[in-house]
Amino acid sequence: MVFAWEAGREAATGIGPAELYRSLHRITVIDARTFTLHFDKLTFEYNAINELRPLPAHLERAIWQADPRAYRTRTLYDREPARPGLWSGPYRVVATQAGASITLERNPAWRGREPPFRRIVIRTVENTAALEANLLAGQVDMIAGELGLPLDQALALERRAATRFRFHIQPGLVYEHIDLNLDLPALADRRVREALVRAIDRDQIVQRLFEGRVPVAHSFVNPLDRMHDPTVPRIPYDPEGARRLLDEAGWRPGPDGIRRNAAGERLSFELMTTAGNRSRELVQQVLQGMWRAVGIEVRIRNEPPRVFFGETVSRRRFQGMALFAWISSPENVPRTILHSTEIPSEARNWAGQNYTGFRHAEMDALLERLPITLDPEARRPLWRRVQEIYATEIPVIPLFFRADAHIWPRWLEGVRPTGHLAPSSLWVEEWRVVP
Amino acid sequence: MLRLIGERLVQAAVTVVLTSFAAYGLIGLMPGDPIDLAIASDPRLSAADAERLRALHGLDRPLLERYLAWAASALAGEFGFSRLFAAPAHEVLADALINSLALLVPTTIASAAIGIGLGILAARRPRGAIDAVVNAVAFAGIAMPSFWLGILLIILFAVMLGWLPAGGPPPEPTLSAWLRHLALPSLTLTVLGLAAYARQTRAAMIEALGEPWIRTARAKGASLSRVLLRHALPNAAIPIVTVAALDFATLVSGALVVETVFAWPGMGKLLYDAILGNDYNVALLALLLAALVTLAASLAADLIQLALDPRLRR
Repeated sequence: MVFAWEAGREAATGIGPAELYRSLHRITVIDARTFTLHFDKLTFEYNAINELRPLPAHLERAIWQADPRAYRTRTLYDREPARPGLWSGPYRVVATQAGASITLERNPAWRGREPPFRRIVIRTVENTAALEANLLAGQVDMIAGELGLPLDQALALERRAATRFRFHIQPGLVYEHIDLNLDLPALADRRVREALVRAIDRDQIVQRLFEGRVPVAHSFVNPLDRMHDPTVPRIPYDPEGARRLLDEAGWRPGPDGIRRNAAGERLSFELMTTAGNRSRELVQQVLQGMWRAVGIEVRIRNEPPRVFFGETVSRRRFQGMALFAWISSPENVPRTILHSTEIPSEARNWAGQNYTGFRHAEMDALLERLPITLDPEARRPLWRRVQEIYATEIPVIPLFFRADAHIWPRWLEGVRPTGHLAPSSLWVEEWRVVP
Repeated sequence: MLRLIGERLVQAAVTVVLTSFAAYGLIGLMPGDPIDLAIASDPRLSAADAERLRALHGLDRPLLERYLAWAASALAGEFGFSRLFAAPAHEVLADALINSLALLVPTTIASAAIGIGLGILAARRPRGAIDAVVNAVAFAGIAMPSFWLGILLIILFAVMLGWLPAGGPPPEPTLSAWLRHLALPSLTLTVLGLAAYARQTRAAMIEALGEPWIRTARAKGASLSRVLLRHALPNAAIPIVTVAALDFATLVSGALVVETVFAWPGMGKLLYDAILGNDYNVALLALLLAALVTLAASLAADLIQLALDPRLRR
């Protein structure tokens, strides 16, 4: 642990986010298995440090010392992943084929329950039609949902192959949503934003596109999160209410059905997402129709993910709405997406993820208080208020939580997809053949 | 001849330099540098982190300065390290190149042999039954999307019949395993590749068979096969050589779509992943190799055409 911390603190190593290594100023080693981390500030997130993980110093330290600048791409995990001593789980890597496969075998040093399978081969098949064919041909036994088939494809396969495979649809923490660019005059008006939400029937979208297998999202906080508050008001599907709000905001129906303001400007936005993502493109088309029904014109313009995330969204160049996903991990304080100091700009190297440009003094104060409020019960009302402001100010339109389709053969049991950030192999030692 | 080779080598050197600069520039100007993408995916990255990382990786320097530094290293034989594969770029490339050559060399030979054969057969009786069939096959080969044919073959031979693996490299390095795993992607590429040869050969052979010296050869009693292979084919070979040279150049740039469908880790897939993953060193080396082989193939085609057609030597 000390080595991992030292390597991370060294600027030449080039670790991305440096805040943890700055804040964690000392580690006290008590014995070979116990240590204390010393931070320069108190936060309730002290037990959620995912980016600092132990490294085997006896193997890695010499490589790091030889060239700290190159270390991040020259670790043994990258260059010799089959080297004994690197892995601490029930399986270890014994072979890799770049771009093709990773072979795992039981780890003799694992002190937990011995996994029943001697060897597991993880294969890469990027084309999903080919992946499905590989499954049906028996060349792969199971498809893990994390990077597997899109939900609609998996549901179609389930109708044809339910007797051969088990299909498990696991809702997760990733939620699809639409960021609204609040710098646009029309979207700066809260009434227009509420009308946008009232005009869309998210239940119908989920039902029509995903056979009702994904949960509708009304907030960025997952319902499984202990800080989720179901009493926070929700904006229902109400097209009549949407029309009324738009009338109030001065947007009147024009001769072609699209609303216009007193200056004759059309109520028209761009809706962007990642090109080639079939489920997002379907959602876009349904939304476009629903908004058209209340007099809002939506123009679909999609870009490759690299351009969309690397330029358009991160530099706030979208002219209206951007559809993409965030992860709603438990009690994850949404400072970077909602605090007014996190609005990306050239002056701050485009860092920050408040792409909507949301500014709300009370939200800022809540986001600053939350991490330093250690008592969970004291945090609860703060979390409720954050969800309330999010629901009423509507900087973002949450759509639904994504679900992953896990598929495994009927002879296999014990697979437990997690639904959170850990992969479905988390309890791999419980996988076994049906007796 | 030597003068021509010398001129071509000078042209090739200039082309390689220009290609390397264009490739470096285009990759560098692509939207979303590695730090932009890191910021978009990691909420913990601060403005200071972004600045520090840009400086550390030299991304704060002008593009030309970065190119010159890369070119100096490349001239010294140091092509850098792959950030995606954590290995020297040339090693990454070597593995993918072997896979691509294993797939594409037999495919190219089979495409050429079958395509030229079909073209000759079709040219014997233009608008006859065989010609119609060859034309249909050639059009199908040109029109059929490779991913569609690939998936179709997987469904037929791997899913329904269970005769062949659906894709991926062989799990063990035996000849039979290699042949089984190469069968379907090779078949896909051969079907698609033979069309160009068949059409070029057919057109050139029909033209050659209408020439007076063919009538003379027939009048002198030469057999049909002798007329076709000894008299007509060498004269029809010039456009076929051009197609073959272009095909040869693709050996090192891979077949992206087919490699993706069959999960075959070849050059096409590597280049695609390297560009999308900002793996500059691998992408540049792969592009340069493709440019070099294209130039070499073009030179070889010119030399073969000179050998085939004495009129070109004047």
